[in-house]
Amino acid sequence: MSERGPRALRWMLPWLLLLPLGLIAGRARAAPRGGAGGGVGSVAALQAQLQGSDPQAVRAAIDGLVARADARAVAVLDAFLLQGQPDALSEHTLRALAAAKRPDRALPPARALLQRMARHRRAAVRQLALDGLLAMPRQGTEAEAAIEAALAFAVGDSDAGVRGRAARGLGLRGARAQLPLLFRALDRGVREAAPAIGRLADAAATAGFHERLGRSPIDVMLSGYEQLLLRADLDEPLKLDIVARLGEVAGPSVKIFLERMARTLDFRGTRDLRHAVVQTARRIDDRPGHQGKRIELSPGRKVPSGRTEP
Amino acid sequence: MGARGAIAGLVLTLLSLAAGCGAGIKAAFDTRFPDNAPKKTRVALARLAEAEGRAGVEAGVIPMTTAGVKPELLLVEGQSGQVRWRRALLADSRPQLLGDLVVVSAGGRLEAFDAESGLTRFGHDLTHPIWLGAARAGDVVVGVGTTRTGSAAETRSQIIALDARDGRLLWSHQADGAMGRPAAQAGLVAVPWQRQSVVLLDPQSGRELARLRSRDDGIEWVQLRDGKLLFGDGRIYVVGAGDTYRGLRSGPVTPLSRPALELPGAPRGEHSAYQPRPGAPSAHGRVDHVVGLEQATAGVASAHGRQYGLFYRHVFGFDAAGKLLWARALQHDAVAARSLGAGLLVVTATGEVLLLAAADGRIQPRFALATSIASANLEHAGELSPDGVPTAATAPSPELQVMLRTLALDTDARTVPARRFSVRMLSALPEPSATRDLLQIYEHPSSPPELDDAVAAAVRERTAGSIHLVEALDRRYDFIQDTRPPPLPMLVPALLNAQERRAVPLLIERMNDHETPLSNLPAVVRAVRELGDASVVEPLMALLRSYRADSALAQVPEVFDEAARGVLQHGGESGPELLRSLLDDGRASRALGDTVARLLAPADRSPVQRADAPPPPPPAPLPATLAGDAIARVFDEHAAQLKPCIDGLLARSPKLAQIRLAFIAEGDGSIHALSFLPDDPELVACMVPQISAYRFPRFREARTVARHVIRIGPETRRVQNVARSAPATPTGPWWQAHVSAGFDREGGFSARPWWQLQSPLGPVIDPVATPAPAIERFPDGAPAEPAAVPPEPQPTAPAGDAWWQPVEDAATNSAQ
Repeated sequence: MSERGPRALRWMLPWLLLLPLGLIAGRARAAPRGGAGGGVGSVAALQAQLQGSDPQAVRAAIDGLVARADARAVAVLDAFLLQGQPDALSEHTLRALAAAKRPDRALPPARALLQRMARHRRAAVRQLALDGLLAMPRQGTEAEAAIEAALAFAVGDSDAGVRGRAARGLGLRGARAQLPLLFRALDRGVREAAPAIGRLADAAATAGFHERLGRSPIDVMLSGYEQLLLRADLDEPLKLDIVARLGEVAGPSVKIFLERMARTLDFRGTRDLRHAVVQTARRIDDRPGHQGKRIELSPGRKVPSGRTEP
Repeated sequence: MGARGAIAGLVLTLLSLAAGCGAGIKAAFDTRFPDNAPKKTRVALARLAEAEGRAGVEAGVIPMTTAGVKPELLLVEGQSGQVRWRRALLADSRPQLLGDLVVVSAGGRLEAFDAESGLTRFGHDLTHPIWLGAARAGDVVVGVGTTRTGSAAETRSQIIALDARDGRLLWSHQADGAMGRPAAQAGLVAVPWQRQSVVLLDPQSGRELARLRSRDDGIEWVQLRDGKLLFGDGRIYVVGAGDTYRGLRSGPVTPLSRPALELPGAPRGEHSAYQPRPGAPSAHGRVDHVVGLEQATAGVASAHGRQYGLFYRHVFGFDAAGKLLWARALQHDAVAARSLGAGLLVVTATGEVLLLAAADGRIQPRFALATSIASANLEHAGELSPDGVPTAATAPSPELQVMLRTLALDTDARTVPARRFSVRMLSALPEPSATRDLLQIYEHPSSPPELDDAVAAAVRERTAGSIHLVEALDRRYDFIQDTRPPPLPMLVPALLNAQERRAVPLLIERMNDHETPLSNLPAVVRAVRELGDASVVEPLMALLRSYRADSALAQVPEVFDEAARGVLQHGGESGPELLRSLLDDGRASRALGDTVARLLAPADRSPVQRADAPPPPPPAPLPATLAGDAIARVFDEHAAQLKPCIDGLLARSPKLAQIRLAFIAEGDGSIHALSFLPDDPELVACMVPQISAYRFPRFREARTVARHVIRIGPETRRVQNVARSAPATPTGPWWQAHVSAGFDREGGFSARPWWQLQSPLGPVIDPVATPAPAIERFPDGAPAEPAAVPPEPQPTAPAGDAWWQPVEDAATNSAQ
């Protein structure tokens, strides 16, 4: 035997040592994100941990399944909730689902779970389920229609908190088709409908919103007007008209609102609008006895900056 | 002289003896007068056959009295409505037409006016102030006054007879006990007396001819008609000259009866002769059972084959057998009514005279007097002439069902008894759509609780139209649409009674609907169980699984019981195993665990038997709302826990006088939306977690706003409020030992919380929304430490602190 054999071995030895490491690294790259050790086993372990007697461990299992953010984990959580859980665990699960980031493939089971929980007997659970639905990223027409339907259904809920969340959610989800429902909700005293209308209304719907000025509490109306003024897709004449109408209403709350809008509005290309806002605010005399048309705040509301509505 | 003298003396002696024997018996109303004497009765009643009838009775006129500032007596032509004459008069009694006279009592006098001219014929002072009425026999007017009504023991009555031509007093009798309004025909006067007897008098002399005394029945009225004497109360006795009356119901003269009508207000068929008929505005005549009497072959029957019920504005028409034919609502109250051949003649309080057709109650105005009417006497209104009979109307009359629904929905609060009657009649109709009408009435905003109760009872008994009950289930509460939930407390018992299995799918929907009130849920689940089959096992198990460990059903454990029974009843052999599976992980609530254990034990009873076992007794009915004392009791129980919070506030605000709390309480006893005044952040942070966990007693309403006040007084008031009756040894909560002022040397410590020692009133809180803390119950069912409620994601408040600033998150940003 010549010296080539041992020399070849010396050259090959590092590569032979590196090969298993490469295989191991490759397997790690292929493992699902967040799966410790990857695959069915970890979900099974978390699933088993859900049935444990230690509340902390159960919560950790819930958090772990939510973090996995895959369809199988959501299915386990769905079954977990269907099994019937104490209040704290149900609510923890829903909060975790609302806060988590999920890849697309986990969405349909999560949406179905949340839609089901949105009809739970306890208002707190319904509210959390709606929060979860609102947190879901947009995913196709059918999915969005299902979420919108769930929110529209919840606007008629007997619980004010559920109604408010649902109305707000319709605005956040861009559910323009639900504007008539939001107007009815506003007329029935669901104040969250006002900013939702502000997010969705076009010129015609804005006119309908103006009709409520004087009938709905001023702070409710201002919440909607703020959204309208902040929108880039509405033209300036409409916004100037809003400012003019508010100037007719006057009052300390309107003045404060306009002053705040003047500080926060993005006025690129809207110099006239800012001027109108500032001038209207200046014209409003909020001294006692010199306040224009009075419109009552909703009961118990304090005007910000320490001023109180008489 | 001897023989003649002896004979004369003997005759005189005998006459004296006879006179002496009769001297103790009065001419009438003597208690020693023999009653039910056949011969006397026969002779007296024979006069009726000889009577010429009512002399000079004029038909077709209506005497009336008016109400208002200037009351009057009117005589109105019944056909035309023309006022023949009017006299300014404040009448005490309803006027009567007696031949050619109109008589009425006013100001303690009996006034008689010529019926033709209205001129005064005579007046007579009345010694007995309550005038009950009069009758006329030939030229004799006989009337009765009394000192009081209603009490026989202290009543004294007087009957007077006046000459109809000049008012001259012919005779009078006074008697203890109540006399009633007389009846008379030429030759005979019949007077009810003491509700037990009928005294028959000679109208010319006032002498008592005969007396009939009833041993079995009361006598409230008398009539003389067609040669017969009629009297009675609910039962009617008809006695003729050839009859032998012994006072017994068993005969020989047996009473006649008519089908009883249970009319609203329970009026009598014939007015009691012992009650006056006022001439001033009153409820008299507005609640009435109008039924004329006529002799029929078989006895006495309703005149014209009709009878009517009056209740203010509501009028009901029946046939002689008591079958309801129609129901109408007038625009104004009726004050008098009379049955005619053509229908019911009615005088209203606004002076309208109407005829309601006998066949269908169609209202035909006759004439209207532009004045308010206090009373009217229709006894001599006469039958309408042929040209007065209303012609057939062109529009069809509404069906009885429509009429009854209209009356039941009347918003006049006085007519609730009549509305209940309409509901009862509506429920007796066979048409299925009547069930739908009953549901409409139940849900109408104007329906008071007593009407709802009547509807619920009526619906429960109905078998027709149950499909409407099923359809009513297909509705749910919606705040925006302002739709009310279905009336489950009424629907469910009715569906169970009707065994309406078509309702099962909708019942399951309502069972799973979170808007179904908790108080209704046990009944709904029970209906699912009783009406369902094997297909209901899965929905029942889904309900049990969903809420087995949740607090939502903690206040209604009956739901678990009914659902578990349903699983056992319909689940077959797998039923027990299904129930046991609910308890495997130990997280189920104690209530469910106890229920399953109870239903599955003892081992020697089959599950089916246990499922069929009688359910636990129903819980006591819930109160309508959350009462203040119930709130106070809950706070009392937790006084010790709240004290540190309040002490902290007192340290910061020594002059604090009270803490006011307000919150929204749900029907299941949970609360939310707490608020405080003063709105001290530390106080709120201290008290909210504790108070939010309180469970108050359940109540029937969905929710209510509740308030409570904790009053805090000065040191001196603490001493004064100590209860004297407290025990001498210090016992009870900490505050009783803590405050020396709370210890009374005589009575010891008070058993009441410290803040009640300072004031008897309770605490009040201002609303601040906060969620109730969750309570974990595993692994052994015992509650873990109350888990702190993780705070909800709070919106980031912009500089202006507007409440509506939304939560800006990734999803929102990506959406926009």
